[in-house]
Amino acid sequence: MRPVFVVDPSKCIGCMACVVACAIENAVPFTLSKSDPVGWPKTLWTRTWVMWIEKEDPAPSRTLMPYLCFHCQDAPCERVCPTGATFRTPEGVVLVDHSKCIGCGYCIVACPYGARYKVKEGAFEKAVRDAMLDDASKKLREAGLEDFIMKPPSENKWAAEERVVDKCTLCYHRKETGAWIPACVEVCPTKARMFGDLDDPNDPAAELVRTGKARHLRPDLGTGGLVYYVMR
Amino acid sequence: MSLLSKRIPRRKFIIFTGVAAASLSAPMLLREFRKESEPSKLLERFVTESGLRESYSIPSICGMCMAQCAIYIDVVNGVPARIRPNNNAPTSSMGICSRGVAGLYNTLYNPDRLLKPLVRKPLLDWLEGRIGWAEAVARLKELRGTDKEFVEVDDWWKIADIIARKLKELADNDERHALVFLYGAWGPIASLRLPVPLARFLDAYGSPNEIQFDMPACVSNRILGHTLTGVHGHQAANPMVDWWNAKTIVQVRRNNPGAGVVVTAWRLGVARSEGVKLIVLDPAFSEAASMADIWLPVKPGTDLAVILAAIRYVLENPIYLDSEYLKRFTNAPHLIVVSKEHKLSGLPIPAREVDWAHYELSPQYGEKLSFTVFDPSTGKPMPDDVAKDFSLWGSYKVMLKDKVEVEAKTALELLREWVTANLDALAKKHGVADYMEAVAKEADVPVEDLRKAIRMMVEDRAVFEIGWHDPRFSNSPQLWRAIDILMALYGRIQKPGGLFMASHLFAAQAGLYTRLKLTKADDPFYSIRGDTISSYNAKFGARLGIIPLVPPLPGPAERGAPPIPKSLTSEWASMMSKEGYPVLFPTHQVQALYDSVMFGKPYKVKVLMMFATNPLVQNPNVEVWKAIFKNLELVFIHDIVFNDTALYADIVTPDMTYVERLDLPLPGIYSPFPVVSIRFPWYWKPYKEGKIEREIRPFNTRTGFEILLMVAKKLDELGVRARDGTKFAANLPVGMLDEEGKFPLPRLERFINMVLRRIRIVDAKGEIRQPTLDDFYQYGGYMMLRFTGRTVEIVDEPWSKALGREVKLRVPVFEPIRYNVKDEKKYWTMFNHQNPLGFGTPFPTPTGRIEIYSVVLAREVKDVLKKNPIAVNPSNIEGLDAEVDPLFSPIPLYAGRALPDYVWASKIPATASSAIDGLKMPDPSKGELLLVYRHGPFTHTHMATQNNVLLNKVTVDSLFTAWIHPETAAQLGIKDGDWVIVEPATPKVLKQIEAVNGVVPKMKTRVRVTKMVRKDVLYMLHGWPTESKRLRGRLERIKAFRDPSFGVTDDNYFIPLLTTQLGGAYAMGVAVVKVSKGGEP
Repeated sequence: MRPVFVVDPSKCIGCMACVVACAIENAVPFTLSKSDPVGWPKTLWTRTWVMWIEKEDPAPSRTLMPYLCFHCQDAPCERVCPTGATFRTPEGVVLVDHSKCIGCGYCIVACPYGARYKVKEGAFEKAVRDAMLDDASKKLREAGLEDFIMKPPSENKWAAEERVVDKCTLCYHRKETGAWIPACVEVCPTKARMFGDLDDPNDPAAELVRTGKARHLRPDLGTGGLVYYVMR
Repeated sequence: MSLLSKRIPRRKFIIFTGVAAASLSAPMLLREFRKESEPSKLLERFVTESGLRESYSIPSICGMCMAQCAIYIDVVNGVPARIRPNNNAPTSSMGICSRGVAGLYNTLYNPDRLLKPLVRKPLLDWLEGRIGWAEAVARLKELRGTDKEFVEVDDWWKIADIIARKLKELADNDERHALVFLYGAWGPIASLRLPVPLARFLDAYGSPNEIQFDMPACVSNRILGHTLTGVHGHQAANPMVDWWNAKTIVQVRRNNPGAGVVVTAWRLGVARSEGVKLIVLDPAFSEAASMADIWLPVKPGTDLAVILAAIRYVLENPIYLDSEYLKRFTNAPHLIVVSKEHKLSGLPIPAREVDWAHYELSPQYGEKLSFTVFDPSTGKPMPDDVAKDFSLWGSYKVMLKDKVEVEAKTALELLREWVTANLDALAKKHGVADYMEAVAKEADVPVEDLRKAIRMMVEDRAVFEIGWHDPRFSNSPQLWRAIDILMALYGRIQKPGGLFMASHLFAAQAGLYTRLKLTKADDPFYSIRGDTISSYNAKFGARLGIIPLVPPLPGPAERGAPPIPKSLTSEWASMMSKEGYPVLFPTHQVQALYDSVMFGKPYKVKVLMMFATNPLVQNPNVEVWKAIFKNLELVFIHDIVFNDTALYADIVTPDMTYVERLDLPLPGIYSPFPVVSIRFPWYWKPYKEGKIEREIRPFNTRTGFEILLMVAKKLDELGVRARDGTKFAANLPVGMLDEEGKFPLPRLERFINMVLRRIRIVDAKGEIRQPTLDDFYQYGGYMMLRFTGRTVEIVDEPWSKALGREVKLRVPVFEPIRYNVKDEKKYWTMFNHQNPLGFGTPFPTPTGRIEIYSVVLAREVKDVLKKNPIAVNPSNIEGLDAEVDPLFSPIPLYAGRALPDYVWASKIPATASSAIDGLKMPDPSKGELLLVYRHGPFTHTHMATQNNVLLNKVTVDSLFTAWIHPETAAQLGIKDGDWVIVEPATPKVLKQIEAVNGVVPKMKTRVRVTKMVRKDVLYMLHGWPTESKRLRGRLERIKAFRDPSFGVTDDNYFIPLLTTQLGGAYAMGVAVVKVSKGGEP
């Protein structure tokens, strides 16, 4: 299995379902994130985002640009990690082993794509309290129901945790279920985000890569990676 | 102790215990994992029966907007944890939007959710006999507008009692019509799935007053324009563009990829990626505009002129005319009487009016309910269902049976004459020779872009989306008429690559057709070629894919009771007409509440009940609505949060949220194919396995259905009878309630199976039977139904029992299909390309054809305005003194009151009524700008999601600013990011506020200086009121952009409350505001 993640910005409508699905799936303390139109995980404190890139000259234009970690083949984050916490799986997915991550943040600086951020200590409590979600939680508990507010809905050892670096994992935890599809791809209503397998000759996402219609966004940086963009 | 405070890495909480399932198209079964906390007492009973701690997925229907996307609710360890798309539905073929994914943060995780009923103390004092009603009402009126003296009530029967007693008083005083149900329909229809129970309660009680204010506030103009032409224009038909075969798509006043239902955005995106072009008409650079090949930033209200230019372009370049299509499917060849002094003047000639003997033709032609054309192969007039050929052009003389020879022209000839004259007059006004230049000047767009766009539209025979929200101008219905006419000229309605009808919704949306008065069988102008809309649906229904969902009990109307008199809308429309301000096609006239409650005209309404809606701030001129609400006698609202309207209510009751409810079946809105869907609650699996016996209600909630039944039960106990003398229990399933007023799940399941009783499917074994709830569950909640061509005779047992006679009828047999996106194109062929409309099944218009010349409109001009429709003068641009204002023209024209209202009504002094006057032209140099609001983006199309903290986080900051053009900003000394003050500048707004002693609103908002908006416009995201401070997430998000401590935070405060004369809708596009630089908050 050789996964590829293909983004077609021309199909993106900025509905942000991907960002929401990722936040829920991976228990991101999203209420601490920022809502800048243009930003990266590093500046927004979220694993993925859709940039609203707007220009006015010579004429108004708008590109909606889904953005995530590129899971580089030659990953600067992996190279600089002092503990070996950042590693690549056999499929090429770049992950952080939480048991080894010391939260030094070197990888955040090293990443040329701004794809990482750190979840600070106390983040979850603040995230829940700031959004009055502790209120919601309390009401449910008193009624006999628990909740999954900022908790991963399925077994996920790469869900967001305090004091370690957080980033897109391509929902690698779902691989073990036998139905590996990243949450953002699963919900995308226009399939501006696609997930495919280069080993599958019938896979339409893989076909875009094979035919060169989808390419790396920054080939000049030489990092390679699993994420390709269809640029028209 | 909160799990969150523990420092143990969270992965240790999760213990892997099982193996889980697999395929994406089947529910994804999750691993079970053990939690460390103890079960609470409430769930103990269920847990000990060892059912509830498991993990599973339930197919359900999203309730975050009207789209009815299919979802899965993933339940983990007995708790709803996540929502994912269910792709086995045509509304969620690829996925769902952010609102759907964030659904739990609107429902179970909503920190501001109502948990218990609230009743104002004076009402409880009255109920318990401590004070009289007059004193109670006086105190209630003082409290309205505050959240004071609400008492939490545990006993729902108290609430039912209060309402029932008040309704009894109305009944005793012969004032049942003083009860009004008020809502923006998408709440109770799509979200709560309650349209039938609501309508039935009112029918039983005997009030004709169900006001769906989203008709005048959103859709009624657009629907009118389309239905007058024969196109079913309900927005549920939005997916009916044949994306797969289109070449160019046009969006006018529509932002498909930026708001609304996401399913059409997917289809648009695929079309675009395959090279289909997009043209967008919008005063601002919307998301749709950013995807467009050509963006025309038209001056608001001038879109009609652009479309007329395209129509003229086709007529002058007949190579683009689809003559065969026009002859076969439209009334283009029908002869319209142009002689002025005849009873048929301005109308097409029914075959029965012609003196056929004069032409030596069969007198039997006179028995037909067809219309007359000129057949060039015979050189004579002929009925349109006999003629071998049709003249599309020309003027003819026809001898009628009253021995008068009238002059008549074909509808197409009139179209050419009138549109040409109209645009020539526009050219003269602008001092140019060429009509394209004239329209470009009028719409304030570059002429080369206009030419390019029109050429592209016509050469590619572009398909237009049917639009959505358009209560903007008086001319709005004519805009949609013009769009349909253009598509008919080049043959793109009901044709591949064009626009198809959602004919499977004709019956479900039969109410849309009542305005057209197609109710007299055998009258050529008041029927569909002899059929009423009811008999049309009965005759053609199965072929059209109509699915019979019928309540298990008949109501007064079904038992033959006459229509309920004293409809507020009708009486108010008559009153307006007598006062010299006729409304031609009134419907759901919410403006009537203004006259009714404030001035007692035509009569005073007293009791208002609202479900899942927020009308205080959803209607224009909010200060006026505050006064209206303050002056009612009893106000009831049912919602999941304490919304803004709740501040003006006396009783506020909490609903179960959509993830918690089993809901009634709804026929397939937003699906391009006939479907029925059923919403299942998150605990359905353990219930079906017998592990729990009842629904799970964490809070003291009731559904809207339950409330109606509880009130009905109380009415029976108080001796109040339904309007036909029967008990309420004979009209509504009152007997299915338990002692707490709950509709227990097992009974609701039985009830829904009864609702499905008239549908027949061929099941997997080849047997013909009705579908059941279990079938729907197997299908994932969504079942497509394809008519097999067969019908069977059945006996409707429940109705037979209720009516005391055997009710036998013929019902269609369907093939149930589980949607698969791979077969999407096949379904288009199966359902739409082969739709029988136009092939033996008439279009739902008097001529049975797509109407270039609108017969209904011409008829109403005669019957209601008492004018001759042919007397329209298309050259009279300024036309306010015209004999027949061009606004009412049976052929769309850009003249008179069909110009944007802020242009012509700026000459008329302001009054306090809802008639159009007292407007203003924008003057950017003085900071006086047209207020143009937008919905969306997808994160927040409606107010119901604005308290959702997750959606708020992902809505980018720039969308919350008010957009202003750099040149305008420079003139006013405003820079990007500044705070500005917005005040109403439309005299009408101020006059109406003065009339109710209201407070003149002001707003402080941050601006974005951008070229993405016209110079004469201030562009804002709609909504975000902060009257209710109890929606804390909403308040938190908006305060960085609109200052709630300074003033109001919503656009509706600055727009006058108006009634347009064609569709009775609002005119929301006409407001001018004054913008000036403001300080820091």
